[in-house]
Amino acid sequence: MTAHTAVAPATARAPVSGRRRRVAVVTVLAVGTAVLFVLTIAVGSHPVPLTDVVRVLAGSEAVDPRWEVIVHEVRLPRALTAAVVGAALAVAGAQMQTLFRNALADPFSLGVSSGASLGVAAVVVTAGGTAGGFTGDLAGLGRLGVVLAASLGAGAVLALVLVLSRWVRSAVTLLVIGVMIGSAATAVVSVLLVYAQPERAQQFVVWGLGSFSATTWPDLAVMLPVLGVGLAAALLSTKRLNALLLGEDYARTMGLNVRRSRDLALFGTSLLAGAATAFCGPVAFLGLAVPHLTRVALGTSDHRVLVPTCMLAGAFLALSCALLSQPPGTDAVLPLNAITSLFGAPVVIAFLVRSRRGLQGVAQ
Amino acid sequence: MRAGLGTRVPRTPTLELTVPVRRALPTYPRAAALLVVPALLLAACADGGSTATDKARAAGGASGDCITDFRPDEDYFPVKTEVRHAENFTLRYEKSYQVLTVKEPYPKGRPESYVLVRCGAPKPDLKGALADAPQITTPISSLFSASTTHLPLLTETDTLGVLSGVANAAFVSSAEVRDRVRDGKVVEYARDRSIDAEKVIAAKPDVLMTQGTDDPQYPKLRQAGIAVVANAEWLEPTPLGRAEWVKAMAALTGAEKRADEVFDRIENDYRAVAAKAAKAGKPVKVLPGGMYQGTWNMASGGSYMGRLIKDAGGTYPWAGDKGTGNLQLSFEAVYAKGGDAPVWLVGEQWKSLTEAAKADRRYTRLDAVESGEVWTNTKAQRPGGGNDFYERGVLRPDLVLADLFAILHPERAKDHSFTFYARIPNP
Repeated sequence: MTAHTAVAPATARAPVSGRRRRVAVVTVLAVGTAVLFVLTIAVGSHPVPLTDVVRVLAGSEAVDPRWEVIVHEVRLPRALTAAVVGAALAVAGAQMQTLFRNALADPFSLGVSSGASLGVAAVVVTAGGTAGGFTGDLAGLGRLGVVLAASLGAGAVLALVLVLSRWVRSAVTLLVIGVMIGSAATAVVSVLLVYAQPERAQQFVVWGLGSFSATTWPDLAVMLPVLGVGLAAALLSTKRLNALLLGEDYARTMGLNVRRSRDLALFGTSLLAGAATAFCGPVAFLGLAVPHLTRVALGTSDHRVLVPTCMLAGAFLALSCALLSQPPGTDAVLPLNAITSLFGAPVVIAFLVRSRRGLQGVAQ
Repeated sequence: MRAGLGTRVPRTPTLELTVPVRRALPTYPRAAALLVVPALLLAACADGGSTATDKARAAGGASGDCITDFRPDEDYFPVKTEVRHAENFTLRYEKSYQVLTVKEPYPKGRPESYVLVRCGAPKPDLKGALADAPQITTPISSLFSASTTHLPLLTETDTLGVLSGVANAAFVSSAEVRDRVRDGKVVEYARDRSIDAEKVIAAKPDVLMTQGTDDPQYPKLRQAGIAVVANAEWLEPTPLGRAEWVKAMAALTGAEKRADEVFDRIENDYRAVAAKAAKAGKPVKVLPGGMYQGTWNMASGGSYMGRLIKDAGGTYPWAGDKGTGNLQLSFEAVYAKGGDAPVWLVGEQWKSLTEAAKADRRYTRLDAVESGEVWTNTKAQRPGGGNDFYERGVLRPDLVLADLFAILHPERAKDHSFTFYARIPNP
């Protein structure tokens, strides 16, 4: 945050109060995220004494062995998943909005979630009656089968987009192509579902609602490193993103290898969105809404601030949604996407109403 | 709170799945007459079957004699079926016709009535609410069935001969019905889930029986003069209530006497098992349902499954929930309240408990998994096809209950042979 160049006009306007504001925003988000993380582990449908929660986290035995399962196998994976996936989707959304200089771009704009859906739907349909439930046919791999299918689907779409991007100069064209590929994948999904057995089709619907509670430790052992790589890549490419913010031609004159930057951003985003979707289903709206909220809160689009703050804000909102989707003290579970969209929709609407300010934020 | 938040996941009755195993039916000897039915049915279909009483009678509509010289004062229904358990339909008798009323033909649907006129009687000139009700000449001779749950209603009353169409044969368990589809005696009219209206109109069945949900094609079919009769047995909360829909079907096929016998027997057998269960001591704790994407789908206490568990001498933490649908619960809640249940009832086709652990490793923390008491209702599931639990099991809750009783009280049912349930092997 030293030496402000032309890439951060908003920060250049009022450096002192702007910095104070950013420090305040980051502090509030960091504290809020930490509090929510602790809350997600401390409260749930079943009351577990706080001392036992701490005891389990510290690795010693709880008074009731069930509490160990609840804290260690249910709450902790869920809190970690929500925090990291929230951060991942927010960063992925910010990257896409910058790359395409489009306020409505989100992590799934290139059809990553449609590709993942296609993979999962293919498993739904091909799963034979002999092979067991929904996860059947990826050779009885259980949950791993679904995750693999989603990853393969997302990966296939990503590969297609990257190959096509060799011939496409304009990012906007690429965005349209991504949307087209997504639509095509969605169309195939709906055809597949017609022939799926109803119980399985039902499970596909459940998958589409998104969930932070499905992950277990073996999942996290894969998901966390993958998302970690994606997040680190985003943090390392903030200067590139700042240059892209000025438009591709201008970025080129600044000596930026636009194509390479674009490919890196595409790959990083797809890694983040693909992995998040594979394990949690397509979690809606966070990726679209969080970058906008963050820009408005920070008063800047400088990616050196925006990307890390998006991580915090994404984790913060995802944890809030995780808490709300399983209201403490009740047994019930609300569909995650219903909750995220309740956050997301008003944000997008407010954003559209105040579109001048918003658009400036994305593509100034 | 729980009931309000619980999402209802309605079963789609049309699309349930099954096994072609033709089981011996010790308590219900199947009439040999079924074997002669196909030829007669073919004849019935050939002329569009508008009156076709003789054929229907031959097809098993036992009390289906046509009226030859109609006398307005005579009661043509000396045997009157009484509906005792089902809440979603009523049968009212007049002298020469019956009124079948379905209270909720599909979720939140308005009541529908059908006037079933005994053949040979003049069509009654009805006023008021019934003025616009479709009039159907009974016994019918051709039927399109939207749900596999209708099939046992026909087979067990020896009236399978009237069946001329099914929505999708892939979901049919009954070997007899599958044979008929293969031989072209029964057509499929909704193979890709949407009704082929032209096919139905061309075949012009006397009745198309619905799956208890609405379909945009139904108004079109009604306009084309096809009687669309709702069967919403899946909205009945009680197992015997669902089974009793055999009487609604019998009112159409004219097999009411046989249906009464069949149902009385089912009811008696069901009650006998329930009585044994009531005397078996403290209810056994069970855990129903399973988890997908971290959310546990649990039958609420007032649901079909909830009643069966209660009647089989079992209980579970959500047994007191009055809702009739399913609850979506967190694993934490399920584990904390029901993780210690010695028996777990699932709907998965796991070959062994290793597959359960692969589906979600948190399953291994359940007591029932450790002790190996995990039971699946997919014993009668045809590979890639339907599960007879959702087909024959709907008419035969006595068999389902007997299975559950044997699972919960093995010491009291040592010689039981299972129809729908099987224990998942523990390697």
